[in-house]
Amino acid sequence: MSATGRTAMLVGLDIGRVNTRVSVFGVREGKYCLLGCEQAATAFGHDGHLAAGVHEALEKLEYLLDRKFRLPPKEADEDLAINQQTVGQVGLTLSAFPKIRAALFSLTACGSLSKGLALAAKLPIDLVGAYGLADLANEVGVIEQMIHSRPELLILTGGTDLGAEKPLARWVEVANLVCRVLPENARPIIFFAGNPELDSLVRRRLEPNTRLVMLPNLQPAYGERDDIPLQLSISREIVALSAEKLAGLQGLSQLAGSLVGVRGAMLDRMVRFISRLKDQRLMKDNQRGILALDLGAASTMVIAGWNGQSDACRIEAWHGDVQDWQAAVDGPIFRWTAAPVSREAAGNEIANQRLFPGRIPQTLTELALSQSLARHRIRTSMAALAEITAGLSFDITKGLMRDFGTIIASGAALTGAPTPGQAMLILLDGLQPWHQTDVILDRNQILPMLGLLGEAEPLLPVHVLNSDAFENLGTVIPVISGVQEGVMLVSITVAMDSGKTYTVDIPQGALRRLIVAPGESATLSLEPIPSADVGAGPGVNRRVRLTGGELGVVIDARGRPLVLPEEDEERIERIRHWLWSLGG
Amino acid sequence: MKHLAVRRQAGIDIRRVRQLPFPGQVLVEEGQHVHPEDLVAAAELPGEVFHLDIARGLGVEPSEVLPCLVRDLGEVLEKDDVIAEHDGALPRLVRVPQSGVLLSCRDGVVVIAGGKKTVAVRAGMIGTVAETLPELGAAITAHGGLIQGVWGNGQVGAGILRVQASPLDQAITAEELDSFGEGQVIAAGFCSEKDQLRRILARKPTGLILGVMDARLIERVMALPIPVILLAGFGAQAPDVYTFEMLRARGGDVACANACQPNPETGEWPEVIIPGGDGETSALMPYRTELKTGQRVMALSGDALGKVFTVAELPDAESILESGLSCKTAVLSFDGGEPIAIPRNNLIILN
Repeated sequence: MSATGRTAMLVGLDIGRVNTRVSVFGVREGKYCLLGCEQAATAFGHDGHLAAGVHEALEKLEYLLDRKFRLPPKEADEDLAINQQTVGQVGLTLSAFPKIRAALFSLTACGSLSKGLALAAKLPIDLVGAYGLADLANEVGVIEQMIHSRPELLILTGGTDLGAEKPLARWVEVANLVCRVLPENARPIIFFAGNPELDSLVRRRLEPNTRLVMLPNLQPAYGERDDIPLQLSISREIVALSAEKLAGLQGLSQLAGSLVGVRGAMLDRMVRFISRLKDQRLMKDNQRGILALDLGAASTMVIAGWNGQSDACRIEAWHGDVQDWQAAVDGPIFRWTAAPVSREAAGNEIANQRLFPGRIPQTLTELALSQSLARHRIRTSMAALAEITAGLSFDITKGLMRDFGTIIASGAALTGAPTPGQAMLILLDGLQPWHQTDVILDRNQILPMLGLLGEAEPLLPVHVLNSDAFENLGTVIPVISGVQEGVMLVSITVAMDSGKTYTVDIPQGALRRLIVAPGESATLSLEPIPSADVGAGPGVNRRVRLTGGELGVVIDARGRPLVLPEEDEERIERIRHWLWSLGG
Repeated sequence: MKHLAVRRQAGIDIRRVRQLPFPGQVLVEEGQHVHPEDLVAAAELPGEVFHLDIARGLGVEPSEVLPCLVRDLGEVLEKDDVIAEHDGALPRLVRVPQSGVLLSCRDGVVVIAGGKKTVAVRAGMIGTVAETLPELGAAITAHGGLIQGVWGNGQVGAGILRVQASPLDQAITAEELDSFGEGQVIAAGFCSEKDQLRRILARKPTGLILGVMDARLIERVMALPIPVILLAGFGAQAPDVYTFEMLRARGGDVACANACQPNPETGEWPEVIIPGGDGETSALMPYRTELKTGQRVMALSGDALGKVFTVAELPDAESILESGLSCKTAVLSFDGGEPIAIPRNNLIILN
């Protein structure tokens, strides 16, 4: 019997910039499953109260599931009171925060500085300064920059265990000076995750001046990384700082008790967990890993996980300056819009989307632009991740050359697409995978919540991951070749376990769905021409055993990199043709 | 479901809090009348940090410096104050080259924080200080017109309000601009190109209120030192007459523009405050409120983008949009026009 009782439900509250999502998990036939998920607008504003959005979503769930999750009605804007007869545990994840400025003091570019930057990339912070060993030559300049930027958090790291001390000790003194220069209310909270030999010096010099959090070394040995304690500690602090500024968050946090987390950190946790499950019995060269992609209203997060380790990058949805965005609108966003629209109109629509991220695309043009924007966000965030992740092998033009066995995607731009085919096309165009990949859509956006609730009920994520809460869009098999368009590339025989068999020939340039019913197993025999690679090398035949998804199996023979016609009418027609190939 | 709402009201009691991010000095008093550029509170931080090599200055070893210091850590020093002295064969002393605070002494080198960097908040509006917040700032109140927009370039300013009199679906003409004096807050229907912006800026306005603007002008507008506020967003569509009639009624009065960026967490919108004037005082409206029939709303999508309607009906059933998505819509009516249906998510409530 679990701590919560296997019959009690667990409720997940996910507060986003635009939407608040509430998910309810319970037990059916001895296994945890998702019972229902609803959303409502997040109630921000100086007179807003975050509980209002939660109330609204819970009301829908109460109607849907015929259960009372709340105690007898109060005003919607007051703190929520949970019916503990029905709900055993509440979890709270947050992905909407006031901007929190942070800085990093570290040492070498190959060591703690890169580890610190990799950690910062995962967190919802605005990194206003990252300083390494070389910056110690200009301590005065660093202090002045810190006075100007006034970070709320300072990460102090460097030196492996029993490693460098003197340079790190100098950073401790710089941090001390920063704290003494700044007024008390403006001093950063300092997270020390460096060489533990300096623990007593750090406490002696910094504790009298500011709040200090001592944590295990981020880099205990050269090449190793232990970022989880620091990530979780900073996440907790971010939630606490947010609770000071967002009405209603404190009350919701109290409902959840210790089960409160930052959505990105919980998504990272699940990626590491799933990658460990997939890769632990495989040799390193065979470990394929998993890629998670979340296109939220406020930010894009991409996480690559291998055998229990992960690298992540979180960038603001509208990251970049005005010139960057103008160039993006005039360039890739315009070209990938499957609707006739002028560059001026595209620019205006994108700018309005930025002002009102909760808008729903009403016209075909608005939809086409929002989906083009989604492709752009995928490419730019993957490119940012590739900069900090060795071996990711992603190029913004050529696509994803590294073999990830599974991609799990979420975010309104994908989950809100009118058809599964449109969601799949956004992912394929944005990522351009070169290898066979299973594409999963987290339609209910619950993966991070599983990471959080798993702390209370370890079986819950295991059961729900294997349930129909996640939509298998299908397996994508790219066919890579440089031959001319129209040339026959590969002959594929599909033999379903039900006995039905058929053969289809795929030409260069085609995007094709092979009909394999969702959940049905089939064996594909692929016979490529000598210059075409279906995953085993040019010209090498291959047999693949797989299960059909919503879209069956998708064969992507459009080539890499994807090339669009120059002429606008032809270009739009091409993208629409691809859409129709995936069901419209 | 609660929807975004902006205030567009002729007469309302307005209260705005202006405060520092950390304690400083409050520069106004309760009851004081303030103008937009007036400082409400200010705090000082060191503007620079510098080293002083005391060991070198005294000609001693670094380890011998501490006993030579004649000032304490944390002490405020004035320019030319003696900071260290050494009675050797040749007595020496070191003076500070500029004023500052002695922060530390390590390895024979002292660190001093000097100079001044001021962090300040301004009133941003014409009003009266209703309440001071000790060491942080003040709450300022006014009664007048409040027109909130949806985008701003981050600047603050004020001036006499001049409003386009010609039809709003036409660009404001050079002749009309010439009739405005210089140094005014100009309200025009739209600005769709660089030349048009240049013509408007040639009148040296102290603020600009536009119905809509082409997104290509964002970079130029962000670099302007005057506030620019958009009432309906980006595009080329004709702005709503309703708000402009409100502005026209106050033409010739002082308008204060605070063109902050919209902040969903705090509920701030860029806004124009026009103190004084007639009109029944309206109740305060929250940042988000329930959508109801009879309300005035602005559409944020489709061909109706930027136009103002009245909510006629709120059907329970979802509708399928042209985009293929389905959602709840609101049926909107417009004077003499056919009713249209817009996704409820794509509406912003006015008043």
